[in-house]
Amino acid sequence: MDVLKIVDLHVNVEDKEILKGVSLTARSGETVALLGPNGHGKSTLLQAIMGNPRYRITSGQILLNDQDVLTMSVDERSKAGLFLGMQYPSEVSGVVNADFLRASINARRAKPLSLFQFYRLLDSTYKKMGIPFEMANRSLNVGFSGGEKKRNEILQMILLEPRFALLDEIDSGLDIDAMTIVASAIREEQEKGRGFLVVSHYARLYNMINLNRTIVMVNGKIAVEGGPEIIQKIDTKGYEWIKTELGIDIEKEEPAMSAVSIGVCATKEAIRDGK
Amino acid sequence: MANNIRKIILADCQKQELIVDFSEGFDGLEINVGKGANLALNLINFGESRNGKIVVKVEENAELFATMADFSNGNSRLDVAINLVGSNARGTWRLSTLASNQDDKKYAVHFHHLAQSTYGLMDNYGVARNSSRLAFSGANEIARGAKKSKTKQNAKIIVFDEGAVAKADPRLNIDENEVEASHAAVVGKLSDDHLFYLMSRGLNLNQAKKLITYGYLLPIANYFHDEAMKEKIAKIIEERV
Repeated sequence: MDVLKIVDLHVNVEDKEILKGVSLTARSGETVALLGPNGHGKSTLLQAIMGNPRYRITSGQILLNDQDVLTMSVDERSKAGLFLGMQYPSEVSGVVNADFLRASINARRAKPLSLFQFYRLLDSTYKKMGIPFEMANRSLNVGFSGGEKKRNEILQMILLEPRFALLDEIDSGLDIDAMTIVASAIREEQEKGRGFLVVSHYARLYNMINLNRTIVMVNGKIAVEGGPEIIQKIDTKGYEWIKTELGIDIEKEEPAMSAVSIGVCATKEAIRDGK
Repeated sequence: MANNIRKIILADCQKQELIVDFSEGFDGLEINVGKGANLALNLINFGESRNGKIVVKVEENAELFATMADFSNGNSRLDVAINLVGSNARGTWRLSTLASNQDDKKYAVHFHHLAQSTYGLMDNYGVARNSSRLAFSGANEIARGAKKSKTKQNAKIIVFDEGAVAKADPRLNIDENEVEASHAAVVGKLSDDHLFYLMSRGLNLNQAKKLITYGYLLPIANYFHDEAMKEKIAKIIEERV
C-alpha cells in the first residue's frame, strides 16, 4: 500500500499565504475528490505536491511512503510515482510529443523501451484516448484544443503509471464524448490500484468515476470532509451553505493582476518566462 | 559542396539548389537571381565562425530561399543584404544559430523592397549559452513605389545561461502606403513553466533544457534539401546543446 501524507502544509505564492495548514492522507486504490471555491488552494496543493517552484512551502511535510518529498526535485517526485495532470498544460513548440513521451517513459526505467515496444504502447494508448496518432509527431500541445490538451494529460498519466495521480480540473474544456473517454481511462487506472486526488468544480466527472472521499477546501484549509453527498450539495447549492451551516466566512478571490506588456513591437529583453 | 564562392549568377528562369559551407573559409558572396529564376541556398557552418557579407539581388518574378544553420565556434559578424529589385521578387531568410562559451556573434540582415508586389520574410532564431553574446539586427525597408509589398521579420533568442547576453533589434522603414509589414522580437530565458512541465514527467533539468533547445534549433533542418545534411544538422545540434 502506498501512502501520500500531507502534514500541516503552509504554502506561499509570491508573498501571499495560500495554504494555511492542510493535512491529508491519500492511499493507493483510493480516490479523493477535492472541491472548493476558486482561489482557495486546490491547485496550490497539487502544484506544491509536484514541486512547482512558484509555490513556496513555508512549513509542513509531504511524505510518500515515509519518504520526504520536499527534498526531492520535480523529476525525482515524478520518478517516485507522483503525477500532476495540469489545468493548463504548457505548449512547448519544437518538442515533439513522441520524443517527449519516450524520454519521460525511459527516465523511470532501468532499461529503455525499444523503439518497437514504445510505438506499440503509444499506438494503443492513443487509440484508447481517441487521439489521432499523427498528433504524436506534432509539437507538445501546440495548436491543441483545450480538450485535446486534457486528453494528452491523461494519455501521459496512463503511460507513466504513477502511484498517485493529481488531476487538476482535467474535465474543463472536455465535451461529453471526451469526458466519457477520460472518465473510463481514469476508472481503468483506478482498478490498477493507483491513488487519485481529483480537483473539479462539477459533479459530472465525479459521478463517472469511483470516489472514496470528498474534501472541500476553503480559505486555504480543509473545511469539510465526507462522502459523495457533499458533491451533490455543492452541485445544487454552491458554497454558501458552508458559511451558514459551518460559520466559515468564505474569503473572496482578489481580482488577478492583468499582465503588463513591455513595449509592443520594440526590442523585448529578458521577458519573464520567455513568453 | 562549394567553398570560397565569390559570385553566383543564376540566369533567367533557372532553378538551382546550392549548399555553401563556411567552415573551410568564407570571404563573401554576391548573388544575382535572374528574372523568374529560383535559388534555394543552404548555408552551413559547423567549424570556425567567419565574418562575411552576402549581397543578393533578386529580379522580377524570381525567388531566393536562403537558410542558414550556423553552429560554428568563435566570433563573427555576418551582414546580409537582400535586394528585391524586380516586381514580384520574393526573398526568404531563415537562420538558426547557437552561441556558446565566449562566442560573440552578430547578424545584420537587411531586406530592401525596391519594386512593386515584392515579398520578404526574415526569421532569425538563436540560443545563447554560457557567457556568449548574440545579437540580431534586422531591417526591412520598403522604398517609395514598392506598392503592394509584404515584409515580415521575426527574431527570437533563448538566453540559456545567466552569463549570456542577447539582443534583438528589429526595424521597419516604410516609405510607401499600400504595404503590409510586421515584426516581432523576443529575447528571454527558457520558460520556467515549460521546464516544470517537462520535469514533472521525469526529465531532469538538463534533459528538459536540452529537449526544448533541440526542438527550438532543429526545425531549420526542414528547410535543407539534402537528406544527409538534415541528419548532420540534427547530430551537431544534439552534440552542442
